[in-house]
Amino acid sequence: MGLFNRGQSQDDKLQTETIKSELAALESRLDNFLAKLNDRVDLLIAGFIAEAPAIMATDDRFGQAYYRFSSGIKGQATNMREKVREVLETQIEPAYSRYSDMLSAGTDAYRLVHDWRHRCAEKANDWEDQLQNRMDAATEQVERKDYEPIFRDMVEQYMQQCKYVHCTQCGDNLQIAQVYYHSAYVNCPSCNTQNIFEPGVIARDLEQNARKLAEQRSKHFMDAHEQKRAEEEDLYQQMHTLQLKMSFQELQAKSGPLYTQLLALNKQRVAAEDEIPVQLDKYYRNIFDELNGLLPDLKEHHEKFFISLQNNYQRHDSKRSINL
Amino acid sequence: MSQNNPLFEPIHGISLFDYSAANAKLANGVAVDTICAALGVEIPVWEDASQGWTQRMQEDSDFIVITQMGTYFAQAGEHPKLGGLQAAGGAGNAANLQRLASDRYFYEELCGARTAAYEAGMDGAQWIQTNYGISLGDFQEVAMQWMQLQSSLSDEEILEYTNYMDAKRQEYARKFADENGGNIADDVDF
Repeated sequence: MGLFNRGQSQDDKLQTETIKSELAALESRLDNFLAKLNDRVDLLIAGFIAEAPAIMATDDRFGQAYYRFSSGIKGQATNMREKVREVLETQIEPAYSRYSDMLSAGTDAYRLVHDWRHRCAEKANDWEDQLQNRMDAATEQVERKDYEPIFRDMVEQYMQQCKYVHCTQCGDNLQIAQVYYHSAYVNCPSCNTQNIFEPGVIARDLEQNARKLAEQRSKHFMDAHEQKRAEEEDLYQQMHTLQLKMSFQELQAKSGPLYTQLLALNKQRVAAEDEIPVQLDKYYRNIFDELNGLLPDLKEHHEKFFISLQNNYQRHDSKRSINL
Repeated sequence: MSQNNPLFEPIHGISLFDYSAANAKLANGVAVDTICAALGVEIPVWEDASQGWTQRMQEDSDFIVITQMGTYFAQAGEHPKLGGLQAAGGAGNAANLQRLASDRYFYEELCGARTAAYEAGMDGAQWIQTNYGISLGDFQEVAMQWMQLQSSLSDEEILEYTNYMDAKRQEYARKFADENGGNIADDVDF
């Protein structure tokens, strides 16, 4: 097996070159494959963005046609994702297994095969991440609505409709001045007859649209939360890269310029990490403050709902375990 | 579930079992008027209670109410007042429904098929209704029954069912793609 050979023999060098050539060819095919798939992703997303508005404009109240359309689009993305996974499983991994089984650990050839496999997996992972990011961005673009005028118009239309609701007994105006989110008993102010008032679709959808408006008004807190999350992840990766450059002795001694740099990075990372739950809390608190302003009659329920949500996301709040 | 837990207090006399079974029946196309008549309430009472139960679930950070609702949803057929209610269209294909409830692999196959249908841009629930005569409400009632058993399964069994469902999803995805002119990247080869 050549475990104790110093340096490579001619045969070893020839074998390494042969392996290198084969793996380079496979990696080149992977690059071309991913590039061709990207062309299809371009077509898919362009079609999604072009066709979605017309579908949404004529959709029903529950958005069923758009749901089927966007599900189909995401299905195509899933199909491409599965093609990439299949290539890794049937082309890349078998080549890696075949050579790693026959090569000695620590040899140039073994490292070559190992690095090649890691590189191919990273390319596939990066491709998937980009696909997901592009799909998310396209979905956000297509689904973007300004809920300020939507909610304002809904309230105005509902109050306008309420001006023309009459008692089934005496015919007098029921003088409805509050929002009813579902059918309700309303007593006639003239004859006191109990009427069943059906508020209509606009009122039934009011709470859901108020929530969307509250989220829209709170988006800057969610952006800050996600920005802190990305910042923490980036600092963690910088620390990881730095640790890989440090010798075992440096890490054990916990001293030296690189270790000092590591501590400085960790300090920044911890500051970002501490901000992550703070911004999330501000996001949800702001949503419910906005909801209390939009639908003040539901304030008691909103406060209980906020506490319930807060209990849950705080339960899942965790910090990285870093041992320096 | 503690009977003394205030989260389970009936709302306008409508219990969580009433609410859950009623929603199972509504999902099956039973009219809300029929539900109200069976429960002996008028629509405003039913709708206020519905809103109340929804709010209870939102305010319950431990998911006790929603978990129990799922259990009751699966038992809708046993509800004393609502269990026998059927939609105007009839009971559907009883034999397929029976098979769905007793044959886990058949259930997982249809789950995979339904997902593949949605991923092909179709109405997955309608595809199940058209091809197997099983309504969405009946399907979800059976789904909740299978979910109740999940905690008694081993990790290996759970993995087997998951893999089976995903294999069926891919099989149906290929079938739907062939019927609809293929996928956008079918001609892209390694």
